[in-house]
Amino acid sequence: MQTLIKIIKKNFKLLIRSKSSALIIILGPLLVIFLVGIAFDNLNKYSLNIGTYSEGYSDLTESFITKLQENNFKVQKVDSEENCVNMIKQGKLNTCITFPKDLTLESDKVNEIVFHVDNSKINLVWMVLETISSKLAERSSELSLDLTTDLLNKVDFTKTELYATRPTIVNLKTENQQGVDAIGAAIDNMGELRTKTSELKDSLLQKIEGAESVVSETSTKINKSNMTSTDKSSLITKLNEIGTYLYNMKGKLEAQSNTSVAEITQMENVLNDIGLKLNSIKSGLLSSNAKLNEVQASIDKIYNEVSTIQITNATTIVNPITTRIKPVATEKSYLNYLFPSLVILVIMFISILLSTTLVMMEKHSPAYFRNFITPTRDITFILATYLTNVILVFVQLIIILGISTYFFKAQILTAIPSTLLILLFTITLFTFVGMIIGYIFTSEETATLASISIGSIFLFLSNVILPLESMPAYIRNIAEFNPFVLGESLLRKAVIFQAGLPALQKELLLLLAYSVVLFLIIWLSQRAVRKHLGHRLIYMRYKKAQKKKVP
Amino acid sequence: MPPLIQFKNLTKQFGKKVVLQDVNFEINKGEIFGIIGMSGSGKTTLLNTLIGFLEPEEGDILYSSENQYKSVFKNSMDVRRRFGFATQEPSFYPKLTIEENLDHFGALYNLSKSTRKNNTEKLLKLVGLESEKDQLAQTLSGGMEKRLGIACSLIHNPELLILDEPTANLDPVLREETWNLIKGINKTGTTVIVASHLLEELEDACDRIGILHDHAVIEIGTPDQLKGRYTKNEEIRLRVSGKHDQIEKAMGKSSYIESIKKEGDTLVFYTAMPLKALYQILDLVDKLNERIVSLEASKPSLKEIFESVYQR
Repeated sequence: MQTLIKIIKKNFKLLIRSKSSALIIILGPLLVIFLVGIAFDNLNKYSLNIGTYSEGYSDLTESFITKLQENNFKVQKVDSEENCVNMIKQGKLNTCITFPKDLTLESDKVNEIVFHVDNSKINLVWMVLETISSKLAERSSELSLDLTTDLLNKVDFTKTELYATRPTIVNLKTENQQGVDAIGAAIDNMGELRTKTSELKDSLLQKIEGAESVVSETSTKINKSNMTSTDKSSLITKLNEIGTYLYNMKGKLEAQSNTSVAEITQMENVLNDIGLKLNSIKSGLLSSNAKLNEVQASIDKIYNEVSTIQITNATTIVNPITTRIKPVATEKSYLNYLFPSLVILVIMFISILLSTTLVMMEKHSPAYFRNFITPTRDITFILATYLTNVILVFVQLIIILGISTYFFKAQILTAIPSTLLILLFTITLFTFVGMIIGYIFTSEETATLASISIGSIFLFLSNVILPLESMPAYIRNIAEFNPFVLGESLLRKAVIFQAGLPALQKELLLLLAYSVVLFLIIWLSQRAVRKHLGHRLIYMRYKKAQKKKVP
Repeated sequence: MPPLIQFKNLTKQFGKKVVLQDVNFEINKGEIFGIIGMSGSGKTTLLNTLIGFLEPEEGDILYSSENQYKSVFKNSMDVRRRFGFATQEPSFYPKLTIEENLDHFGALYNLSKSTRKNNTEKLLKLVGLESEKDQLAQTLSGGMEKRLGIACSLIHNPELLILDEPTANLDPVLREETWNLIKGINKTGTTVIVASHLLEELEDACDRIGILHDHAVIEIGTPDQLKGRYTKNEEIRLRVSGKHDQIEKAMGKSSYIESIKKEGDTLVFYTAMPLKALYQILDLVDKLNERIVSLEASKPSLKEIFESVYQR
C-alpha cells in the first residue's frame, strides 16, 4: 500500500512539474465547461436564416412570412431562386422557401411551396424543415379554420332553412290533397246527381206506374166489388181521372224526363267534361303532391344527413387530432439535458488520453527499466497508474460539476450515490482502454492518435452525432454495447430521471465486466511489454554496436 | 570461500542471433569483478540476464543464499532485493529531485520510511551529492547523473552491485572520482561487477577480469595473471625530440626487440629482455645526439592483451 501511494505521489509530481501537462489538466476542464455552459445554458429555439422568393408576393404569402418572423427567424426576400439556393450553399441561409406567384386560395388551384435545404448539415436540416414546416402548417391551419368555419356556417344556414321550408311543403301538400279530395267529391257529387236524377225519374215513373197499377187494381177491385154501379161508376170515373191524370203525368214526366234526360244527358256531358277536367286537375295535384313528397324526402334526407354531422367545431375539423409534447423530466435548459452526454464525453477523452499519456510517460522515462528490477509487482504499477488517472479525472469532474452547478445552475447533483458509481465505472473502463493503448504502442504520437481514434469511434457509434435509430440495425446492435452509450444512458437515467440502482444494474454489470476483461489484458500487456522492452533495448544496442564495431 | 554467483552454461540469443553461448564462470563475494569485451559482445546482455531482466534460452545463473544456491530466474523477487543495478544510461526520474528519486526507489524496495531516510542520507554523503539533494535530476551533470544512478542502485543495501559502463562519456577526472566511489562501495563489503571497455580502469580497479569474446567468457583472472598468460614481453616507451624514424629503423634490426609500435610521438618497444633492449636504445639515442623526452619500461597493458586476444 505504501509503495502504491508512493508511486501515485510520484505520478502527480511528474505531471505537475511538467507545466504543459499541469496547464491542460487544470485549465482543460475549466475551458470545456465554460464553453459548454455558455453555449447550452438556454432553451432558445434555433435562430434560423430563411430566404424567400416569389414571382409575386400576395397577401397570403406575406401572411406566411409574417408568421415566420414572429418566431425570431431572420427572413429575407431574395431576388431569384437561383440566388437563394446559392446563399444556402455559401452558408448564409439555412433554407430557402419558394412561394407560388400570387398565392391565393381558389378552388381547383393547387398551391405548392418549395423548400430548398442543405442535406449535408445532417444535424440541422431536419430540425430546420420541421420548424419551418410547422410554422407554415400553423398558418395553413388558420386558413383552413376560416374556410371551415365559413363552410359550417353555410351548412347550418342550410339546415335551418330546410327546417323552415318543411312546414310549407307539408302545407302545400295538404292543400293539394284537399283540392284533390274536393275535386273527387265534386266528381262524386256530379255522378250522384246524375244517378239521382235518373233514379228520381225512374222512381217517379215507378211510382206513377205503381200508382197506375194501383188505380188499375183498384178499378178492378171496384168492378169486382159489391159496390153500387153508381158508386162503382163514380169511383171508376175518379179512378179513371186519376189514371188519366197519372197517365198524363207519366206522359208529361216522360216528356219532361225526355227533356230532362236530354238536358241531363247534356248536363252529364258537361259534367263529364268537368269531371275529366277535374280529374286532370286532380292528377296534376296528385302528381304535384308526389313531387312535393320527393322534395320533402330530399329535404328530409338532406336535413338528416346534415344532422348526422357530429363534429361541428371548425377547430376540431381542421385539427382532428392534436398532439402535446410532455417531457418526462422537468423542463430544463439544454445544458441539463445534454449534461450526461457531455460528462461522459469529457470523461472518455480525458480518461483515455490521460491514461495513455501516463503509461507512455512511464515507458519513455529513463526510470522505466529500474522499475522492472525492483521487487514491486507489475500489478502495483498498474493500479498506481489507474488510481492516478481516476483521481485526476475526478478532480476535473469536480471542477466541471462545481462550476456548472454554481454558475449555470445545472441540476446534476441528484442521486449522488448512483451517479458516483456510474462515474467511477465509466472512468475505470476508459482508463483501462487508454492504458492498453499506452502499452501496445511504442511512440507517443501513434498512441495519441490511437486514443483519439478509439474515442472517435465510441463517439460516432453513439447518439451524439446521429440518433442510433437512424443507423442500420446491425450497427445499432453493436452500438448498444458501446461503453460510451452505456455510460451516457446510465447517467441520464440517474441524473435526469432519478432512477435507482436496481434499474441501472444490468448496464453497470456490463461496464464492470468490460473493466475486468480490460484489466486482464493490461496485466498481460505489461508482462509482454517487459519482455519486449528488454529484448528490444538490448538487441538494438547490440545491433548498433555491431554496426559501429568500436573496440 | 564459495562463490557468490555461478554462471552455468548460460546461452542467450535474440531471434536467431546468438549473443551468449555456454558462458561459465563464477564471481566471488566481496570482489570487484570486471567484464571486458568489444562493443556488442554481450556485456549488457550478460548483466541484464544476471539481474533477471532477461531470461536465457539455456543454462542458469545461481546465487548464494542461506547456504544454498538458488536460480536467479526462479527467485526473481529475492534477486531484485539482493542485487542492485546501475545502467549505462541514467535510470531515474528527471523531474524528481535527487532526494525524491532515492526516496521513491527506496519505497519500491519496500523499505520503511526511516530506513529510506537513513539510507538516503548515507548515500548522498557517499556519492557526494548532499548539497544537490533538492536539485532536479534533469539539471545534473554527467558525473552527477552517474553517481545518482549508483546511489539509486544502492538504496536497498544490496549485496551485489552491477555496474554497466559506469564511466562511459565521463572526463578523466570524473572517471577517477567514479572509480574511487566504486572502490569505496566495495570496501563496505558490497561485491561489485563492472562491465566496461575502458581497459586501463578495469586493470587498475578490478580484482579479477573476465574477457568476453565470441559469445563466451574466454579468460578470467587477475590483471597480472592475464598479462602473464598472453605475453612474456615487457614494453619500453620512448619519446625523443626528433629522430623517431631513424631509431625505429635501427632498433627494428635488434634481436632483443620483438616488435615496435608507434603511438604518436612515442615509440613502444616490445621485448622479452627489457634490460638489454634498454641499453641498446640508450646507446642509439646517444649516438644520434637525440634528447630523450620520456622513457618508461613496464609490463604491457591490458589493451595489448585485449588486442592480441581479438587478433587471434
